[in-house]
Parts: sequence; C-alpha cells; structure tokens
Amino acid sequence: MFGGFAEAFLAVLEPHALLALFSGAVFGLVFGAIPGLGGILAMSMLLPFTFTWKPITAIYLFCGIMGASAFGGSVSAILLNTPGTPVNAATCFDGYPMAKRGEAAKALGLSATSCLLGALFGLVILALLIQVMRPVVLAFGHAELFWLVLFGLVATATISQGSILDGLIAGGVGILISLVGLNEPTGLIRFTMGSEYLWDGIPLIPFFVGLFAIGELINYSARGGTIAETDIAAEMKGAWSGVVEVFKHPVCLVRSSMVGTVIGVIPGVGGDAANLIAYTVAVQSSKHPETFGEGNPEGVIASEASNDAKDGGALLTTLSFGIPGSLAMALLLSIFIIHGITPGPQLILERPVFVWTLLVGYVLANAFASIFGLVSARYLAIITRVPVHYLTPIIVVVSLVGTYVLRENIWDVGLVILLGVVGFAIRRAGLPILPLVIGFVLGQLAENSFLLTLNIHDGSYTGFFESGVSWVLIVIIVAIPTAKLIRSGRSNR
Amino acid sequence: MGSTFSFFFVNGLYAVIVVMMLGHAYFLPGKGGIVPLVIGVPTLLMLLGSMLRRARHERARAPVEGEAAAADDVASWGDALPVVGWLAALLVMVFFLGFSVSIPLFAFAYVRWSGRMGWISSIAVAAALWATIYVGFTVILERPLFEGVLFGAILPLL
Repeated sequence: MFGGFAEAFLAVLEPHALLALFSGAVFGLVFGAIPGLGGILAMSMLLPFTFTWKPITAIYLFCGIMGASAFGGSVSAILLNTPGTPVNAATCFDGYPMAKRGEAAKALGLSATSCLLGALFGLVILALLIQVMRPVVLAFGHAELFWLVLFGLVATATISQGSILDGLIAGGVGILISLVGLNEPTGLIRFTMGSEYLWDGIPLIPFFVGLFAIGELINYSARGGTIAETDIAAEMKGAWSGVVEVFKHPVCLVRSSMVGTVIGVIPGVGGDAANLIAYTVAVQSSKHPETFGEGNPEGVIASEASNDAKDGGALLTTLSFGIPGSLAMALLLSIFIIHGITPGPQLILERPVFVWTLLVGYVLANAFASIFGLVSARYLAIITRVPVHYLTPIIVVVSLVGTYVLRENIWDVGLVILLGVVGFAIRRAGLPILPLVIGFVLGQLAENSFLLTLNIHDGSYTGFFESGVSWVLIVIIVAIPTAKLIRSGRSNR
Repeated sequence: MGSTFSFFFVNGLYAVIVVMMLGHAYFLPGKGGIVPLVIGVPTLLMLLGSMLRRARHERARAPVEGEAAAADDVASWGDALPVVGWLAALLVMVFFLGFSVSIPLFAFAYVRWSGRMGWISSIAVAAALWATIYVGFTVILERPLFEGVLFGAILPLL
C-alpha cells in the first residue's frame, strides 16, 4: 500500500497538477462559503468542462474542490452563523459566538488549522489502518447504525441548552420532520398533506439556511449595531492565535479526527453527520461542557477536524469497496467512471499510485485553502464590524438566491423564510436547536436502519440486541442522561 | 427563563406537527407508521409534560429547573417583527416580480428606510448587490433566476 506514495507525491507537485488543485481549491472556497451552493454544485457544474482533460488533471481539480469547500463553509458559519454547507453546521455553535466577541480571525485560524490537520490525520490513520478497516466497516450493520444515531440524539439532548426534556423533544421533532416525503424501504409517500412540494421531503439546504442564517439574521437585524459586540481593535487576536490554540487541544483534535475518519469510512452515514457527532463527543468528553455553545475553541476544532478527516475515510471506502458513502463520493465515482477509472476492491491493489494521488491531492487542497484562510482571516473578520443594515440585504439575497438555484423551486425560498421565523422563535424561547438539527439530519438514516433490521430478522426485534457493538451503544445511551440527572440531583442538594 | 410566549409558540407548533403526523401514521399500511408512532407518541407526551410544567411554574412565578434563559442578546418580538415584515415583503416581491427586480428594490428600501442610511449609500448597495448576483449566478454559473409570476407568466401571455 505504501508503495505508490513517493511517486504520487512527486506527481502532485507538477505544475499542471498544482494549477488544477489550486483552481479547484478556489472554486471550493467560494462555493463552500455561499449558502446553498457548496462543493457538490461546483463539481457538477465543472464536470462537463473536464471531458477533454487528462483524467488525472480532472481528478486534481475535483480533489481541490472537495478539499476546500468544507473550509469555505466554515467561513460563513463563523462570520455569519450561516453554515455554507451542511457539514459546517456544528461550527456555528461555537465559531459564531467567538466572532461576536471579536475573535473571528482566531476562529478562522482554528478552522483553517483544524481542517488541514484533520485531513492529514485522516490520511495517516487510513494508511496505517487500512488492513483492519474492513472488519470495522463490516461491524456496523443496520442495527448498529440505528443505535449510533440514537446515541447522537440522546447525547446532544443531554448537553444542549435547556433541560434534557427539551432536548429530547427537539430531537424527536427533528426525526419526525425528516420522515416527510418518500420512505424508501416501504415506498410510501408520507406526511405531505397532498403537496407535491414535499414528496422529496423537507430539503436540507433550505432547512439549514432558514434555521441558522435567517433565524440569526432576524435577531441581529432587530438588535442593530454590528455582529461583533466588542471593539475589534482591542479584542481581535488574529488568525495566528487560532493556529496556536489548536495545538493546545491535541486530545480534542485527535479524537475528532478519529470520529470523522470512522464516520467517513462507514457507508451510508453520510458526511453531514460527522461534524455533529464529533461535536457531541467533544462536549461529552469535556470537563466543562457548559462552555460549549459560548465560543469554546474545542467546538470549532471538533467540527472542522472531523469534516476533513471524514473525506479521507470516505474516499478510501469508496475506492476500495466501490460503495460511495455520501453524495459527494457518489459524484466523484461518476467522475472516475466518465474518465475511464473503474473503482472497486482491486483499485488499491492494481493502482496504488492513483489512490495515493487522490489522498495527497486532497490534503494539498486543504493546505491551499487553510493558508488562504490564515492570510485573509483578519480581513474576512472585518465583516463582523460592518453595520448590520448593510449586511442584512446582502445575506438575505445571497442566501435566498443560493437556495433557489439549487432546485429552481421558488417554494424553497418561502420555506427558508418560514424556518427563519421559527429559528428566531426557538432562540427567543431558549430552547435547543442542536438536537432538532441532529434529529433532522439523521432521522431517515435511523428509520431506514430500523426497518432494514426488522426485515433482515423477519420482523423480530432481537436483531437490535445481538451484537456487542449494539450493547456498547445501548449502555452509553442510558448512561449519559442518567449521569447528568445524578449530577443535577447532587448539585441541587 | 426564555420568553414564555416563544416557549409556548414553539412547543405548540411542535405539538401540532406531532399530532398531525401521528394521525396520519396510525393509518399507514405495513411498517410505514412504526417509526413515526414509536417516536411521535413519547415526543407528544414529553411536549405536554413540558408545557404543563412551564404553565405551573408561570403561575407560581418561579423558574423551571434546568430550563435555559433566552440569551441576553436575543431581540424581542417587538424589535423582530419589522424585520420579519421586510422578509415577507421580499418574498411577495420575488414571487410576483422575480429576483432581478426585487433584489435592487429590496436592498435600496431596506438600507434607506430600515437602516436610515443616505440615498447614495442605499443606491450603491442596491446596485452592487444586483450586479454581483447577476454576474455571479446568471453570467458565470448560468443559472436562471426566478422571473416572477408577472414577468414569467402573465406578461408573456399579453
């Protein structure tokens, strides 16, 4: 497996490769930062232009886009509380509070460094563990995936603001609204109230843009002033302090990268879940969980490190098993096929140089994006000092247009505004958003896993309790809220 | 505690969603209703419990244990409603006039009257925003923008 690494590294350093990677990184940054666009749109739009290119040059371009789009999404998540892509949702929780207290440049530095190190980590771990990844992947069947989703929900309900009850309610509602539309295992179209618009379910991008971007926009537009609430000259610490801060939290970085890698390797979980699960694990593992959501650097590190680590994992699973774990990987597979590269189990054995080229190219694209982020962080942070009356129309228009062009459905625009009002109401009520988001993102996965487990075991529920992995997850699911209730009971006395 | 009105508004909305889905799920054939019922029934019970608990504490004017306060930096509904009104107006404009006309109109009006900025600033923001959207989405990305019912459907018929 290591045999092709040196050759691949030298190949990536050739001028045409670097140009393709850099161009892809720029596209990825810009598309990732604009809500509603994202790396997938960039890849699909540029695909026709690459038909006449050398296959490897086209692959470099798409690696560049993939490597940079996650960081691009974190820029808008941190500065505007608007995840540029769904995989940056968790970055909003602590990145935006940091921006509000004048530490936007530091948060961007945290994100840029975490992205790069997460990608590197994913690459190293996979290279070391590739021989044992197969049993890890195979250990997660449908029952285990179901319990994994429940773990994510219960853990976030426990640690999010408000009571556990409010968190569980939000998680339950999130799951329920994710079930709207076509259910693949049963073929039923449910809960659409006769509306064709809802046949495909509530779309992901309008959900995030509405709940996060517009919800927060209503808030800061109503308050007036600027996003940053402190004097930026006095408080802004600069991107470099963010870089240094990452190295002060090595455990969080390594753990989140591991979580991202494992999530990325498991087909079917999808990239949107990695940042949320890694964030949840970081909060659970922290000695001060109450500081999360208030601008804790570990929140940004957990989200962004897992984002980029997961892509490395997903790449290797996609290439070695031929099973795309997410939409981005499915698109990448189609790009391979168009350019005459056949993915599958033999690819790693027969073309190790190609596989290493992909991974090294992906890490280099991350490096481009991170360096750009570090250099420009101070200037990007100025956005948080622009009066909101200038920002509001810009953010609203870009968000709505970006959402519209995705499906060219005007009702998505209406949905965004409606969810924006709901998002503001949730903030005003002091109720949690994180469990709602996790329930929505993971709800369909939970149901599909549940139903498939029942089908496999002929309708028997014993399938959920057969494996050791399932029992470990069940114990954790029970232990987390129990521990919090016991701690609360003790502190009340 | 968070705003009482907002608490009951959000939880009431949640309750309506859950009840409607439970009602539909009960009559779904096969396994289509299992997960919605398994998730929906406990969620509804928790919702009712939460709202009852909050109502009881409101009467006693005591804080609910474990509940978070609305953050100090969350605006009041009184301040937020005008912003919501602007967004609703934008939605109506876009629906009837399309993005190309609505974007500069909205940007100019918002900056001028809500932001109370000068005429030149307002025109500059509107023009720059319209140009960016047009060049970025229509020229470079070649993605058509919604033309609106008036320009896309009614006027072509006349």
